[in-house]
Amino acid sequence: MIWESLTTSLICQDMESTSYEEVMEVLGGELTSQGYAKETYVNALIGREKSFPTGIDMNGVGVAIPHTDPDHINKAGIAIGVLREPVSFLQMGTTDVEVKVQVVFVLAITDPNAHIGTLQRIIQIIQDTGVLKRIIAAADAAEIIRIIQEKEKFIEVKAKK
Amino acid sequence: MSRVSILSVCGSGTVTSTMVAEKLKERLLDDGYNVNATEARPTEALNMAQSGSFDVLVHTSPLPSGDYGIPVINAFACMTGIGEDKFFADVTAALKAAGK
Repeated sequence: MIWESLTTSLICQDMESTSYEEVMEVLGGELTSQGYAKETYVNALIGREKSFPTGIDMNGVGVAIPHTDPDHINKAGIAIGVLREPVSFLQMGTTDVEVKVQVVFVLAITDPNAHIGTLQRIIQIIQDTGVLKRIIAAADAAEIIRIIQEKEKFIEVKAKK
Repeated sequence: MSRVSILSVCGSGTVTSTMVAEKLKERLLDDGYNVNATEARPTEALNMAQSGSFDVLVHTSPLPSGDYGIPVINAFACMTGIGEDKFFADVTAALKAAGK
């Protein structure tokens, strides 16, 4: 379960960043200073986003899932950012479609094949615009983790039926 | 059960392509396909597609232009869930057209 691996120290709310580069510096910076990623991480993250954008217009709510090569990672982690004002990202798969993003999940993943379940779960979470809206409105970081925990509980119950 | 090979391409050749590959494996199983997926970066995609080892290429990153020689299908719908059914239908249609 993803919520179990989330930590409030990797969740940033009320971010005042005005560009995706600044978003990466803050969230990637937290992953670096807290030992999840190497010093090269933030630059790699920005470079990757430039060439291969990760913005997604999820039915009107903009979300992005920046990530880069496992070479820059020490241990797996997820940083979550909520922006005060949406910031322009490019839409995944495009070179010119802008998406106004308000929720960012920075994925520090060491081995994608070992984390297939995590990756699928992330898609399920971000595809729920209700969840994204609740994350945006959350009072504190602990509440964001609870929102994701509840969503995962719901997914598990549904999967058993 | 028909065995098919799909080349899944994203920017890092890891995270997003793995997400898409897993979804394809799961969904195409219901249509009677046993999917063998390989993840790749855009820079490797053209050579790999031309190798003759793959039936279909799906991608979430922009692709360099070129003659891929196999059907190329945008997999962005897998990320949003919107238009996902059409994406899976497009992939199965391409496989059927290839005689799979």
